[in-house]
Order: sequence, then C-alpha cells, then structure tokens
Amino acid sequence: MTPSRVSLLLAVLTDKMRAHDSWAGETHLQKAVYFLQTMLGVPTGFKFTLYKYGPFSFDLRDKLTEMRASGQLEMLVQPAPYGPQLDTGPGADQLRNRFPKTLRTYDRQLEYIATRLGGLGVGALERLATALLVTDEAPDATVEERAEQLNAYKPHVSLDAAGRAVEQVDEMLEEARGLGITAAH
Amino acid sequence: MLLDHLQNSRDVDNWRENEPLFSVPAPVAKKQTIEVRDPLHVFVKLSAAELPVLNCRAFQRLRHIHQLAMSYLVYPGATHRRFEHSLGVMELGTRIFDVVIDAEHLTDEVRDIVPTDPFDREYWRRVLRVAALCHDTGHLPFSHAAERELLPEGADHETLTEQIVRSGEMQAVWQEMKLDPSDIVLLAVEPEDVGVLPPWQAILNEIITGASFGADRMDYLLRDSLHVGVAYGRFDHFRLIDTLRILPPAPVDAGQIDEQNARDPEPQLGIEVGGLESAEALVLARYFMFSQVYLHRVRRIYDIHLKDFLQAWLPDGRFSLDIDTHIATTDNEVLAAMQTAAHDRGHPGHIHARRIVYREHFKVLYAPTPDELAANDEAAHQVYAAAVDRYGEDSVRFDRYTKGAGSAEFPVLQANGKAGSSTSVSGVLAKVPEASTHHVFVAREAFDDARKWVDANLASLTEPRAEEVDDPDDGKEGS
Repeated sequence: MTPSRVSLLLAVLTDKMRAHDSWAGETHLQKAVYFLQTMLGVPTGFKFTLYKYGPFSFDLRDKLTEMRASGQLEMLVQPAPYGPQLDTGPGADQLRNRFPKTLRTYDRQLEYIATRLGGLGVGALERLATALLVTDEAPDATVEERAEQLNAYKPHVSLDAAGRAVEQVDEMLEEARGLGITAAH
Repeated sequence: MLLDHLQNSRDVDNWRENEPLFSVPAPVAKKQTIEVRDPLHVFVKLSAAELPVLNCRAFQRLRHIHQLAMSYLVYPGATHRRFEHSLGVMELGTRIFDVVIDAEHLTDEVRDIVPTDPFDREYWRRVLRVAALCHDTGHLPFSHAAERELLPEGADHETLTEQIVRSGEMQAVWQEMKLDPSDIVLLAVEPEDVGVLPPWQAILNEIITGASFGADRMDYLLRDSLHVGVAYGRFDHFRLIDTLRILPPAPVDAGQIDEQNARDPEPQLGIEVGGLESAEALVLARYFMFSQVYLHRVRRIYDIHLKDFLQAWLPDGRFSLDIDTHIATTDNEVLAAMQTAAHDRGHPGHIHARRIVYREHFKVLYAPTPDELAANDEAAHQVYAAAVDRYGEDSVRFDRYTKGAGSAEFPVLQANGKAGSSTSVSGVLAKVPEASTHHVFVAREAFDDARKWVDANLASLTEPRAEEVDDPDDGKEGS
C-alpha cells in the first residue's frame, strides 16, 4: 500500500476512534492499527514489537510524526496530568478526496475497529492487544496457555484479566469472520 | 632530528626542567583509572578492567567512522568520530545511572525495580558502561543510515553490534570482567530490536538509547553542535541529568485507573518538575539540529551519492555481516576506493565518486512549501516521477525524511508528588514542530533546463491526483 493510502487509513481511523469516544492518543491508535493489521489483515505494513502497553510499532510512530509534519494530524494538549490526544488536521482532507476507492475498500474494517476499541482506555487496550499478540503467536493454544503467556509478557496484568482478554479476542475474531471483514486467520 | 624539532617548538616548554626527553620509565604501580581527555566532558574515566574493551578491534575501528558521515563537506569541523562519542555516552550514561538510583530520588512506586544488593547494582553499572561503549560498534562506514539498502535483508547495525558483543573475540573480555554478554546486548541495542524487557533492564536500556533522555542522544546533540560550530544543540545537560528520575508513566488517558492491571505498567525515565526547562531545551535542540544540520539539503544529497557509490563498489552492492570484514571496513577504505573510482572512468562507481570528490553533487530542483504539502503530500514525488520521465533515472533523486522532536512525551514529577504528562505541564513541548524534508534533486548538468521546466509547469506537476485505478501495491507490505 502506498504511503499516502496508509496516511488516509490512519486519518480515517483517528476520526472514527474519536467519534466512538476514544481518547485517541498515540497509544490508542497504535493498538487500533495493530488490530486492523493483525486481526483484519489490512496491509498497512507496520512492524510491531512487544513494548510498553503491548504491541508497538516504531515505524508507525514515525508515520504519525510525518503526518503531523504534513498537517494531516494535530496534537491536542490535555490538562495535567493527562497525555495528548490526536485529531485530524486540514491536510487530511486531500487524502479523502484523492483515495475514495481505498476508503471504500477498508471502511468496514476501520468502522469495526473503532466500534470495538473506541471506548476502551489504555489499560484495557494493552490487555487486548497483547492477547491478540499471544493468539497470533500460538493460534492453537488454549485460553489458559495464552493467558499464561500474556501474564509472562506483562506481569502487571493479572492471570484472570489475561484470561478474559484472550476470550474477548477470540470473540472478536469470530465476530469479524462472521462479518466477512477478516483475512484468513 | 626529532630532538631538534622538539627543542625548537613550543612543546619543549611542556617538559619539566632537567627531565630527559627520552628515558626508561621507572616502575610504578599499575594505574587503576585511565583518563581520556574529551572536548565535551573534559575527562572520561575508565577503570583498568574496562581498558580491554577500549582496546578491542571493534571499538578501535570507531576511530575511523565519522559521526556525521560526509557532513564535513558542508561543515568542515564535523570530522569527529564515533570513538569519542561512544566514550561520551558511557560518561553521561554513568552519570544518569548514579542519579536515578540514588535512594533519595526513588519514590515508593518504583523503588522495588532497583536492585537492593550493592553487588547487583555494581554489576549493572559495569554492564551499562560497556554497553554504552559498544552501542555503535555495528555502524557501517560513514554511519550510513541506508541500512535497508546496504545490508542483507532484515539486518541493521544493531545486528552487527549484537554479533560483535557475542563474538568469540569478546568472550575473553567479558569473562575477565565477569559480565554476561546477553546483558550487554539488552542494554546496547535499541528497544525495537530487543522488544519488551523487565522494568530494571528497560530503564537501563533507556539510559543509553532512550528517545527522550538517552545518553546517546544527549551526547550526539552536544558533540555535533560543538564540532559543527552551531549553538543550536546546546542545553543544560548538567541540570537535566540532576533532575532525571525513574517514574511511573503519566496517565495516557482519563480512564487509565484500571483495577484489572495489578499495578502500574512499566516505569520510565522522566524528570522532576524543576528540570522542565532543561528538558524543553533538549527537545528544541534536537529540532534545530535536525532542521539545520542533519537534514541540510547538501548533506542529504552527499548521503545519497555515497549510497550510490557504495552500491556500485561493494560485492553484490551490500556490506557483509561477517565480523572480520566489518571490522576491516572503515571510512578510510571507502574514501580510498572513492578516490580511485573518481579517477577511473571504467570503475562502476566512477560517476558517483566524482559527484562527491569533485563536489559535483546534484542540486535541489523542488522542495514543497508547507501549503503545497498540505494540499498534496505527494507533490514532491510527482515532480520526481515527472523529472525521471524527462531526464532519466540516473539524473534525478528523491529524498523524503521526517524526524520528530523525539519523544517530547515523558512523565514529569509534579509538586504534588504525582507524575503528569510533559505536554500537559509544559507550554513549549507540544508546540515544537517536526523536522521534515521532501527534496527532488537533479544532476547539475540538467539543472538549468529542469528549473525552467518546473517553474513553467508547477501547478500541473503538483496537482493532487485522484485515485482512478486499483492500488498496484495493495496487499503488499510497505509504508
């Protein structure tokens, strides 16, 4: 996918996440893109590594920086002590006008991710995204095995919470398959 | 002859009266500390036990790797090397370590991540120092950033750094120092290459490589600024380091208080509020250094010409991952080959070498204004594609690069004892722009014609183009 089309998807995802009450900070977008790419197979092409708050892409961080430099995204400062939010800037309009076909192709996937993840805080997103990571690493493992792996990666997430997160990811995968919006998993 | 020279020079004044110029030194006790003079930190001290790291082949190679590639062709003073930078990273990293583990600086929320056993602390202090020394040993000649094109697929300079640290040659050094090479790798390599680390090791890695307050970043800004001769990179690193703290992360969102997580996630490096101005100065220094020095258009085109030359000169167009070959290949070998190629019309890298050696570098044909960029983020690429059609692929180059202010987002320990987001407590940090470059370069032989052509056709060349066909790259990776 070309860089500008990836920018389009990120801009639309930001708008949709905000419309679904997301705080829409960088961490929230990182996890949403991880789901978009890993669960639904949208070819954004970012390399994710397990890092703070779960899967994280340094490439995506650079991309968001580039979009801020181009006026496609803007940082909204929040009152202390909270981190900033991201919103689309005036430079994002050109993307929607230029790539209507790409937008149509992936609109349902973007909407699904925003609907399911938009209302979640960063703690819940960390658990879910890491649950998706352990599922991606071992798709045939049991819920308990994956929960243990999640807990091993993120010891501050309790085993119970890890188990619930893995179950939730399984439900989302099933739901996405039913909607016909996921790549074969 | 040498005696005459010394006696006739000012150096002779430095010899104490009646001291023979040549003598057999009297036996003295073995020095426990070695001091290296440094233009930035005055003295960098190493223990005798650390000397074998300094003397190893991989570290000595850094004497021949320019820190800022061919920036010396733009800024003549920028001839400093990764050798002294790595010593500086060790010096600053050690200072940061000593400040952040000071018992008075640890809050109850993070105290348990720091080892309590003094022997453990000393072990990790040693690991941190040698990791700082080794962190750049994998760099390619001229610290070239185009690793994706110049190394085998999937490899980067961190791959080479890890191989060097784990090499048989270094094993004896680590055994003598009683250090585990795996621990050194964890701290020396960027987080994107080591992934998630336990909290203590994550903090130590951040002390060296951190995007906000890493010793690597602090030293290169200060050192590059000094050698380039610009004041932009300066900031009060003494004050900044004194106020660094290990802190829980600031709340990312208002819903973060979450009972399902047993405790706060991983701590990170932040500052107490008294250091906020020095942290702002660091972020600004990084922005100015990028916009004025690192992204300078002539520096960028020399980097491109150098990459073109290396691809033409190297076997299969890429550097080897073999450690002996890596250690034997420095800027010196590249410069010698480049001089030869510049004078040999039959050399495959002749034209690229000429561009550098005779300063026949390409010139900027087009760089979009912020308004043009906001209207069409592919404006420069469209001009590039059209110029390639008109002048041929060999005569046009495209350069697109963005570097943020770095992580301007970090926790700040406020007067109420709570960590807050830096952007929420600083009026400056959120406003620091991103340094960015989009350049189309053209061969100087074609420049005059190309300039007239772009001027006459700018509107049509940069007009946003709506999608009409399927994305030919759809389904492929790459962004």
